[in-house]
Amino acid sequence: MKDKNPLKIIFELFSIFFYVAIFTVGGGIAMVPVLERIMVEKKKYLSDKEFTETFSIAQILPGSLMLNMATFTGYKIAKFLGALFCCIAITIPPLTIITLIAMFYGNFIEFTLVKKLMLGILAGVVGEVAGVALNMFKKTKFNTFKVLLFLFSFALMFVLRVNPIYVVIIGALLGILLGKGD
Amino acid sequence: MLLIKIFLEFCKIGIIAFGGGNAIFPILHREVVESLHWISEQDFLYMVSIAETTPGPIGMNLSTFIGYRLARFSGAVIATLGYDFLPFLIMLFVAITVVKLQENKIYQRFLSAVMVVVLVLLMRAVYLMAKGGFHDFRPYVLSLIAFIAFVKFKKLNPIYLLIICGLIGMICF
Repeated sequence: MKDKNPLKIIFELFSIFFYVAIFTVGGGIAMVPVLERIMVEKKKYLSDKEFTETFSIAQILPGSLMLNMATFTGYKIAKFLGALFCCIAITIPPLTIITLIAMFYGNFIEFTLVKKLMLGILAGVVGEVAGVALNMFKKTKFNTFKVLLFLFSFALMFVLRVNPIYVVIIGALLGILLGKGD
Repeated sequence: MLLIKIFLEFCKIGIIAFGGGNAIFPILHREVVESLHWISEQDFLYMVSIAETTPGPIGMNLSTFIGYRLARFSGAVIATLGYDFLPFLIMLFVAITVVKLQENKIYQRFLSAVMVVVLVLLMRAVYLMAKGGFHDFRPYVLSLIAFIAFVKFKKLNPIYLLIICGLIGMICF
């Protein structure tokens, strides 16, 4: 990260998160591919590993993924004010859109064209999130423990349909007891 | 008075909303439809359909919507703030702690295992989004194209890719 005026950094973070929030259709997960490209590859605010860390921690704590990622990333880059402004930035777009819909009791979601637009964006999000998963898979340094943990978590979530939060807790405990770190 | 009640109620919902997205529906339903009778069953379903298809986290969208219904604009803002408040504090505390823990061996082992589980979580999210939102083969084809474009062209802005996908959806779906 280059040396920059802290106010400038906060302003830049604010605009990134504001912009990203407009395009998160289908829940907070949609912001992951967009943020990864902007924060890691374009602006180089975070390293690959830091980004995965942010995403992982945000995913396993209460609250929406989007808010958690904004808080964590904001804090990492620009401390408390960074966290605060990133959160404000991601809150404004959805708040405005939903308030407008509620005000007009709008059925504009019922407009077929809007529905098709949203479905198209969702299809894009699915493809991009799959891309992030692939990147993450490629960058994981798999050892025996990690391969077993991967298969075990997969079986728990997809076959036995265990609530993901329990899988995270089990995985974390196994990691602390038996894992080797990186 | 109502505003304070809304704030506290959504604080509570925010803190029990683990796993985000779809995990929030049953919790919100139990609270605002069954126990508080703030929203009717039918309205709730309508709100869920809106929250799912508009930008933003689903839980936050629902909070804004319900808040608006209860007390107009101030209700919307208060409910959203309430929903975000405790997770923000927790996350802030975690961020402060984690920044200091980078060299800690136990934290490193914890993190490297959690990353593996989160990878599976991402795969699950892809599966659930596709299963819940796609009703014929066309969105799957578009997803596949978006996937290839995203992986192949590192310089491509993912937001432009999403806009293009939206436009294709308007024409082809």
